[in-house]
Amino acid sequence: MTAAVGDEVRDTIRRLVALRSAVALTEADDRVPLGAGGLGFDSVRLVELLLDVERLVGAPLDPEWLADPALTIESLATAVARARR
Amino acid sequence: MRTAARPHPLPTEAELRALVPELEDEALRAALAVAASLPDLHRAFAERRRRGEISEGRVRLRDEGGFSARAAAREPMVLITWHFGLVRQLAPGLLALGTDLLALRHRPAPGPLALREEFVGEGVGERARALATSIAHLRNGGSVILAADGPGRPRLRVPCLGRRLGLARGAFALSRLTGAPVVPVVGLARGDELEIVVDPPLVAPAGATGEELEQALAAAAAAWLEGLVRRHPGQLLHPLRNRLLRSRPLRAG
Repeated sequence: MTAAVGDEVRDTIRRLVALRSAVALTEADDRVPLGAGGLGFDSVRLVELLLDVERLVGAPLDPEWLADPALTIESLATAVARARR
Repeated sequence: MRTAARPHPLPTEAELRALVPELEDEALRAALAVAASLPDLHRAFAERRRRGEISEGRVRLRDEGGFSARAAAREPMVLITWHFGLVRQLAPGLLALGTDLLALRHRPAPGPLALREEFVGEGVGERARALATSIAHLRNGGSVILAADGPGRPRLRVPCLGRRLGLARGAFALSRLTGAPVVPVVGLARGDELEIVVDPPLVAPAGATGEELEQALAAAAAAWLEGLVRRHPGQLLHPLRNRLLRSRPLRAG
């Protein structure tokens, strides 16, 4: 995974999260939990986000993207970028 | 090793009358007798499952809506059921009939089982992962089975038996996200046999999308459940019976 691919995926996911949460986000928000205690995504909204990622990033939806319990923009971007290698 | 589940409390006459007030005395007595027979039937089926004997002539399918043809054509389906009848034998029974099935559960069922299962955890990530696994399975032409009255947060409120029943979104969201139809299925005790009844897919108003679609599907599911309870009140198991009894009555008028 090149740094450029990783950054591109992270930027894309951050934009998608911002759209779905109607909140302006910056790089500083990449480690904020997507679920409870953070941006408040429930499971359905989280899966809808993953389907957005699938469409834009071109990597098929993989439940392993959610393997990291941290569940942040950063953890999601890392998992998705790894899948694009 | 999986442990045996505790038996469900049996219904009382007052509980069944509260849910189905029009029940006549004879039907009520019959319902209570059926309810009393369920724990032993559960145990007998669990023992057969443990020995790998579930397919030996004790499972029959009543296909009211083209389920077998859809399954043979590998058309994905979201199968919803309830805590009703021989619910723990339903997924094994469908598996014995050759269905490519993923069962979403909140805890393991007793006994070894050659059934693909996904456990829905407590956290949002775990629940999302279960949904994502289900989507992948549906995309491969398989079917997913889950209980509409599972312990997920009850976001959708729908009328059922004169009450406002709360249901989790999971099954209905899966259908919306994948286009797979929601197909109601129940495992009924018929003597000492398991009858799997699969009805036609639930129908939502044309053009319904998003959460409106989920709400419409949930309402159709509740209407289907209401018919089931009226026909087989003795097979309504404690978790769902309790949920219905604790649901707020619909306002009159």
